[in-house]
Amino acid sequence: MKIALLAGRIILGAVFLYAAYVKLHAPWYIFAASIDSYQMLPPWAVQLLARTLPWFELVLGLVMIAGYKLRWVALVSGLILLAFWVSMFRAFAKGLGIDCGCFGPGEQVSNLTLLRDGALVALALFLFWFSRPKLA
Amino acid sequence: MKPITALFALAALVLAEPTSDKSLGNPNAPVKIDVFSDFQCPACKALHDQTLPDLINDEVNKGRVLLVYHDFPLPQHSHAREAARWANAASRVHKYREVSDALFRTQLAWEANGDVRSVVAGVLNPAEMKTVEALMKDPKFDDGIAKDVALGQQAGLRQTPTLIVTHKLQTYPFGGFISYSILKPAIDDIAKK
Repeated sequence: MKIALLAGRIILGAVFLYAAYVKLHAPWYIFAASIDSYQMLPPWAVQLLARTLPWFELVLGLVMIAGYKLRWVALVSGLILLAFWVSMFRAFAKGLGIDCGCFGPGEQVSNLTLLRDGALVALALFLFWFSRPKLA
Repeated sequence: MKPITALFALAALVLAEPTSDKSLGNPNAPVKIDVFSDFQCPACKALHDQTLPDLINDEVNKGRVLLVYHDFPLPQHSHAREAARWANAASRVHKYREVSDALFRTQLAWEANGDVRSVVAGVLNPAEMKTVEALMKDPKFDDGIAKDVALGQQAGLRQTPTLIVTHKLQTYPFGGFISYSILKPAIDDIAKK
C-alpha cells in the first residue's frame, strides 16, 4: 500500500505541476479566456481564478509530491478536480464545444477529458482514504 | 495542424481583404480581430450582445482595432447557414450589421420556427428587401460563406465563436465566449508586442 500511495501522490502531484507550468508559461488572459468560455463565473471571478489557480496548482503539486499532510491535500485536490469535472460535464452536456483549459488551450472538452479528470478524482479519493491514520 | 499548413492558413487570414460591409473600423488599425461566428450558436449570441458592443465603442471606434466578421455556420444548426445567407445578401444593401443584430436578438424565435425571412423583412425597407430576396433566389449569388468557412478551417477553427487577433503578422486565437473585461487586457498586451 505504501508503494501505491507513493506512486499515486507522485502521479497526481506531477499532473498539478504540469498544469501549473503550462498556465504560468502563457499570459494570464489565455487561461482566463478558457475559464470565461465556460460561461459560469462573472468577469471579476474569472480574472481572480485565472491569476491565482495556477499558483495554487503549483503549491498543491509540490506538497502532494512531498507527502506533507497528504490526507488533507488529497481531499482538497479531489474537491478541485471534482469542480473541474462538474464544469466540464456541464459544458459537454450543453454542447458548448469549448476548450477544457486543463493544460492550456487546444484540447476540447470531450469524453476523454471527462474520463481523465474522473480518474484523477478517483486517485485523489484513493489517496485521501488510504492515507488515513490507522486505529490502534 | 502541420506547421506549414498553419503558416498558409495564418497568411491567408492576415492577407484576407475584408469586404466593406463585414468589416468595421480603421483599415489601417494596428490590431485586427477576425470574428468567426454562427447565428444560431448561443455563445455567439452572448459574444455579439455582451462583448462586441464594448469592443466597438472602446477600440474599433477609436481606430485601434479593425473588426472583421466571418460566417462559420455549424452543420448541427439547421437554420444557421440560411441565416448567414440572408445576412450576406443584406450586406449587398449595406445592412449586414443591422440584419446580424436582429438575427442574434431574435435567435430563439427563428431557431424554433425557422422563419428567418420575417426577421430580415423587419429590418430592411421594401426596396432593400426586394433586392435581397432577388439575391436569395439567384443561384449565382456568391454569399461568401464558403470562403469564410474555408478561411476558418485553414486557421484550425474548432468552435464558434472564435476571435483571431492579429498584430504585426502574429495571430492569437481565442476560442469560445470571451467577456470584454478579459479581451481588453489581452488586446492591450498583444498591441504592446
